[in-house]
Amino acid sequence: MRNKTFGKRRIFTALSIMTLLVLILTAFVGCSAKNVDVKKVDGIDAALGDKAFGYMQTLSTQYADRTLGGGNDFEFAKYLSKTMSDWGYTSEFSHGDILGLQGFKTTFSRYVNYANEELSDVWAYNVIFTKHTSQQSKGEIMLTCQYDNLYQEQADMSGKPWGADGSYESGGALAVMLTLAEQLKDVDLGYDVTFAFFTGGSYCWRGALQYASQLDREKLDSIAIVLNYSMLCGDNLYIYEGETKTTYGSFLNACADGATTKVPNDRNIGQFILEQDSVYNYVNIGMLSNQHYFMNRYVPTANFLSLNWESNANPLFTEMSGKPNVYHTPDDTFENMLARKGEEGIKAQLFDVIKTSLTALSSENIDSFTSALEKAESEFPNAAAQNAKSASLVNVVFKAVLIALLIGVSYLIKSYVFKNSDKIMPQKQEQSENIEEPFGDNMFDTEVFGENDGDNEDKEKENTPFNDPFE
Amino acid sequence: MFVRPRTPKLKNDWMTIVLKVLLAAGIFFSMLYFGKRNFNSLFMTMIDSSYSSFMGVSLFTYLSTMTPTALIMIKITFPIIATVILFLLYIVFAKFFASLVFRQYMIIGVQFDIRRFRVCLDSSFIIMTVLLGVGEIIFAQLPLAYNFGNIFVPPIVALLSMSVFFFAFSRGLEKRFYPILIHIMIIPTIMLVLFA
Repeated sequence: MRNKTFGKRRIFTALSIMTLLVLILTAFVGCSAKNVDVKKVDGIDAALGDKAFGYMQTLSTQYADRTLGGGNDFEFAKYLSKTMSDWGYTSEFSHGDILGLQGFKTTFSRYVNYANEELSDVWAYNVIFTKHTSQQSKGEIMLTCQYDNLYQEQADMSGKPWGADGSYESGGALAVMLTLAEQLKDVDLGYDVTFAFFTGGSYCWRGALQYASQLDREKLDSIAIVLNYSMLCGDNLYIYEGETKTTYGSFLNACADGATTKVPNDRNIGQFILEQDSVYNYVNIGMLSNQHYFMNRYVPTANFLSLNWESNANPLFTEMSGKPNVYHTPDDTFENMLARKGEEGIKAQLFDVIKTSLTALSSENIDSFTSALEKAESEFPNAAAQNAKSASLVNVVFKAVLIALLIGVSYLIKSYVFKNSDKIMPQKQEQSENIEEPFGDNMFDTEVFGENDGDNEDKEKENTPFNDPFE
Repeated sequence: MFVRPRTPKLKNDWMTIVLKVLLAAGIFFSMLYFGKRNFNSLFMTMIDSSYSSFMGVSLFTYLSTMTPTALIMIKITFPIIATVILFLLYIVFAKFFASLVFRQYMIIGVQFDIRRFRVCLDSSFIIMTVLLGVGEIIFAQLPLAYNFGNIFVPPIVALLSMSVFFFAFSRGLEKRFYPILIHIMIIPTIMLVLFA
């Protein structure tokens, strides 16, 4: 009978522990499908892919060197300024007499002449242009990308500059942005549409950080969404909306009409943060671009990027299955892009990105997009539930409580044993006479501790019903 | 003459050896997935070129252009090193735990069987390492839950493992000695909770 009760208790304990584990695991899962309505948009021509490809080709030849602090980044910024001005975009920024340039000084290091060379107070330029709506503005839609590359980087045993035009890192995204800017120059969506070409993407996206950190809360709140274009022309196209499912993310994926691949759940993760008070205390490849600094300021963001996220071949990320990565290497060139993906493949993917963006930003769908964006605030992750500070605090508190409980249990047992020592050790007195050899001579190996040891303290200790491990 | 009994040494047989191998495999399994997240901190080398240059070689370029075989070797070598270190720490822990139990059993007059002790402890640790590895796999699918999940799960799994040890090792022990066994287990449990 007693055995049965004991068995039931065991089962009950095991079930309780299992239930607790399941509850903890499921408490964090809050994914739900989002219903979105996307209308087909006529007139988005596949020739836009060819146009973007043309831009990409031009960038790789005429503006191959866009290295931050290298001199030619300024020339390229001037080219962007002229192009955007010609298309009728305006800007509140200017540097000297050049419209649209947000100049700022920055310090970083680059490997030059067989040594890490510190470049102090280097001028860097973001290029920011906006098309204001003629209606009552519903907010600001930002389209962003990085324009710099590592053309002059010399981290190579040969000591020669890499000469990488950054076609994968920034060339494809720039081509998409220029095509979109050209297409949207006469479109009025009821939003102010800003095109931000950020510098310093090869050095922690410091151009985007500079821009985002100078915005006050009111200005940040007026940004409806940041659509960022980062590495393009890998295996698959993804739209990364953050670590939680959002309605606007579902909307953008619906606009892609099957061209995007679902972001995998098991994302390679790096356990570090880019700035204080980050929303997440880790990063993944989807987070790592300009929009990161807007995301950390609770602005809705979506990052268009292309790689093979499902593959775990490379511990960090894999651009194309079975092919070595080119990001931040001397091999990030237009020629390599052509060899890896082929001209048609590149055109098709650039078109997919353009089509998705233009579908979302079309007069047919802008109201649905607005409705989706209105839900964004409520879909942000609960920062307190997963940020680094609260996690560390909970870790310390949880372990302290557990240890305190264990010590408490220990003292309870100790007092119980002392109170009931007669029941637990009825032969205590008899044993104390013979404490030196409780199991007989041959039961254990023994060592000589000392002859004629007169220390009664040890004997007294061993005479007690049990030994307190805390003493 | 006062003699101090020594904690008996374990004489290995096929069963204890199999358990040790399984335990090492369990540690490797949990390390394989635990290490993944931390190993990926090499992302740092890609986000800012300033970090990646080392003695004239771009670390990120090196990582990017490694062959699949070399990458697999790296991914396996790190957990193997961690497994060796943790297994050695476990041996020290087991010896310490055994000496605590042996000394207390000697005082209360209960026979101590080192083989039984190690079989129970090894088995409970195998369960713990497998559960920790499974936890890592589950939380890899739930990146948002990772922070808090991995705060609660390892200590709970550690307590679960010690409970398994208690249920297994206390079989045959007179019930009046249960509180004493639990009391002996407090310090090793605290150690596990701290480091889990």
